[in-house]
Amino acid sequence: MHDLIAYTIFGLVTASIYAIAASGLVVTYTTSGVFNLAHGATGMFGAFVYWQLRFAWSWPAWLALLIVVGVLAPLFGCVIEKTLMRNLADATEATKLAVTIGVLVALVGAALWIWDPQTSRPFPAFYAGSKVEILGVPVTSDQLITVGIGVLCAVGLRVLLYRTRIGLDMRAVVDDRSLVLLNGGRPDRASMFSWALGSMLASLAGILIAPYLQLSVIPLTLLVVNAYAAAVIGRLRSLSMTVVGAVIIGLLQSYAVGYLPTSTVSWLQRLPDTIPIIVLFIALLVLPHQRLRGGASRRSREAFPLPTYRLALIGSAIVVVAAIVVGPLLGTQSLFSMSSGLALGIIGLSLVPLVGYGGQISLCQMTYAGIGAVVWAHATSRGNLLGLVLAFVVAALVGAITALPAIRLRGLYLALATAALAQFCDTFVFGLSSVTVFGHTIPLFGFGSLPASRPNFPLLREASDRTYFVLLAAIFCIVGIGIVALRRSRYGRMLLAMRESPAACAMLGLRLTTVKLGVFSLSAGIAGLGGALLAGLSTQFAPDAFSFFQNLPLLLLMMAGGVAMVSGAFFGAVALGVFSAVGSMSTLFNRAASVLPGLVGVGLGEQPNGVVADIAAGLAKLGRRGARRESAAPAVADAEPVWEWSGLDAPLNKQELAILDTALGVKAGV
Amino acid sequence: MTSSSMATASPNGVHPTAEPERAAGTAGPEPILQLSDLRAGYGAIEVLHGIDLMVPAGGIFAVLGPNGAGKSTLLKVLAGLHPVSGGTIVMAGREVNRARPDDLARSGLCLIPEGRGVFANLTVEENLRLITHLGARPAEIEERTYARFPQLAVRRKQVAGTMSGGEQQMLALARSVATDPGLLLIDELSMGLAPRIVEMLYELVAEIARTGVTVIAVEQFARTILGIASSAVVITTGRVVLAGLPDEVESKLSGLYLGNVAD
Repeated sequence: MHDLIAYTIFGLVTASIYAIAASGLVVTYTTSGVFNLAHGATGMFGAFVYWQLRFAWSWPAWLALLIVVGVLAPLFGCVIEKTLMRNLADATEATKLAVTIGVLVALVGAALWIWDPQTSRPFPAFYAGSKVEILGVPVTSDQLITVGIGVLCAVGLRVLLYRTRIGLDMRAVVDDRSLVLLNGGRPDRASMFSWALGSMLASLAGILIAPYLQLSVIPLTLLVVNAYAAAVIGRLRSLSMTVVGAVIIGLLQSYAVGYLPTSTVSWLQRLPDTIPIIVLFIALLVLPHQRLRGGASRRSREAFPLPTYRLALIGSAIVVVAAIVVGPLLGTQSLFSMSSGLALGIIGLSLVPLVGYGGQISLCQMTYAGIGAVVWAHATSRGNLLGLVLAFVVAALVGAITALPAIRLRGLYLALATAALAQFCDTFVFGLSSVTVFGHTIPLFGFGSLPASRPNFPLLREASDRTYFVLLAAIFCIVGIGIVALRRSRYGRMLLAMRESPAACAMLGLRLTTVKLGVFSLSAGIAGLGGALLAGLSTQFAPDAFSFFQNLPLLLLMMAGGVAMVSGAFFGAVALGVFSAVGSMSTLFNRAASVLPGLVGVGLGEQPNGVVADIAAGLAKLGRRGARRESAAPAVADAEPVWEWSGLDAPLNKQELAILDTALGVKAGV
Repeated sequence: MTSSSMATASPNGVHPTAEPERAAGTAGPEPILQLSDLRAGYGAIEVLHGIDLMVPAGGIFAVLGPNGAGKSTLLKVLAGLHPVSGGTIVMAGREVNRARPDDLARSGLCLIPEGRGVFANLTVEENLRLITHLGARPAEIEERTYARFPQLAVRRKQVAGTMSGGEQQMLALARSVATDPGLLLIDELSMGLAPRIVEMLYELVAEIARTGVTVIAVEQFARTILGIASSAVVITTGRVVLAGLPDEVESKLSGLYLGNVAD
């Protein structure tokens, strides 16, 4: 009984922190429609700044807290809202997420830059030491303070949203932004306030949780996944349900630590950490979602041209020739960086049909790549090409199996489910020493890393680093041409239609589930292939090469290039290679290079189509201008339409009927 | 130039000035709204090809036209929700080409947008409480509104989205009246509603107009609105093709707008 109370109290302490973080997420999401994946990173940064003020510069705790939570955090929220989020109203869900991922990556990069991760930073709890007894269980004062702040935040937010004028404004903005304007209200002010508030809550949660974890960048940043679970239980809307969700997760996690036989069953050791992730996944699947939305689909800013085979072939030839020419000019380190960029580019290509064409956001492609790599490492130690096929097939199968439960999710919810999957593999599966499938034990990363060989192509056995670089370029091009073919096929059009209007597709009799499942497996397969090739590059690979966090720069740079275009993925591959090459030059460059992908992602808010599409559009414009000068063709923009409809409120007259009949090829009078 | 004209806006904006009980149909000395060669569009496609229009103060001004004629775009442009690409809008003597929608709203213009102009997830009470820029206490606004629309008082705690279409439009009307507008723009009040409800709503509109508010009502279905309007125009494909008194417009309308169904 004593233990149960102790675990319950500890569970409630973590629950309070999750509740604070999750309500911040809900507040910003409901008022701006942007799900802030950088929420955890904001909290992490807040905790670091607090540490700097409180412990490095020895400020009093109240002052440091006031400056971080009361001044810097809301200021940061306002700046983010004003410069980035406000422009995202008509962007797709993928672009919105990418911008917040950009902020996340930039904050993580900046934190690693400012606070050297090698140094240890003790972070004692508030007023630690003094204790009180509750039901015979000693409770420290910091635990009491945390729960108190949690309750205060929950009540305060409720009052703010439902009892104050600014709260009413915030809820009105969610409902109909332009109607608020028509009422003489100032929706921008409400949005800005909500981002400031979200940022404050994030930093408060970060500061409160830091004593329980270590003050280190990635764990604090990813801790927000636990808050996602609570927010999803609140269906990203209800603050009270979010608090309930936080309590469920906090208690479950605490009881798991206390009661699971982790000392006797070794694989259970990591399970408590994954409980929030499992809860998130289950919550996503179980909670009711809105039905397919009918009505007019809004036109988004993102638009991509149909690729041609001619362009794809010419581009491929250029890429391969360039690889042959550039390869000998690069030093060992740069060659490795550029090769890994290309291998990552192949994984990035898997995003083109999935995110670019199908509009399905995935944050777990690196996980599929990791599975491909593990399969490759075990299937062959002599580079048998069948191993690549196997890597593709197994990753595709795992993709299909994991997609199956997530298939009815769309947009943000799908992104969160894939993030949960990646986190689960990251913290649990890849940490196991082996898995046993059908009596066959497959060792995983139990010993830290796995050896992998390079694929042996005919005539190119045991490829040198330079040959492998060219090989990667060639494989990238082959996969790229395949994706162009896919885009031009009936299936490609189906994917596009699914992105534009799932409801209309369903009305046309398309089986959305099959289309989705297909594209998920194909994409996972491509990622698996890329993972195997990436593993072959470094011959030894560790699980952190395929961690959840690795997904973020990959997705960002692919989107920066243009995620619906093979050329965009190539841009992303080169950028990844160059960033890594620059990063390997010196520590300073390394730190700067880790911020860069974040900044690139942030730029997506302004240029959602990606660099390549913008360059192409610019060139096309120049071309048109040249052509116009030559032909001096008359402008057609102002030309009168040949005929006009009277509209559906009146029957057509004879003349209109005749025109319609001709247009439809119907005999008059039928 | 235009932004400064907003900055120096009179506190009254387009509110009716001296004579609140102006008889419908008689044009005041100064038009409340004057459009000259107004152009607007979406990207490269121009939708309004130079609209010239003079709306007299007081009364109901009907804007008719078929689907896609540019009526809704016109209202959005007037309310500051859509940019002007050419020409001028002069509202109560001031050029307001680039005025922001919230500024226009604060100076007495109110648009009830197409569909249901209500905050569907807020209660009736909360919908009304959003109006605070007038300086009136929320309770006062509610009291005035419920006196005029007693049906809404019954539903004050109900979430607006759960009310019937007619009630939602009534709330939209009530909210706009509560802002004490000088110029009320209504986009397709009749959309998706039964004829009986539409008639009832337009009676309310006529009542509002009798208090001195100028109403510009866009409609696709002409009959009801022409019954209460003081003047009317017909727009097709972004141009004004007919303007005049409601009777004149109605007599020519069948040929021009309803194709060959002359009843």
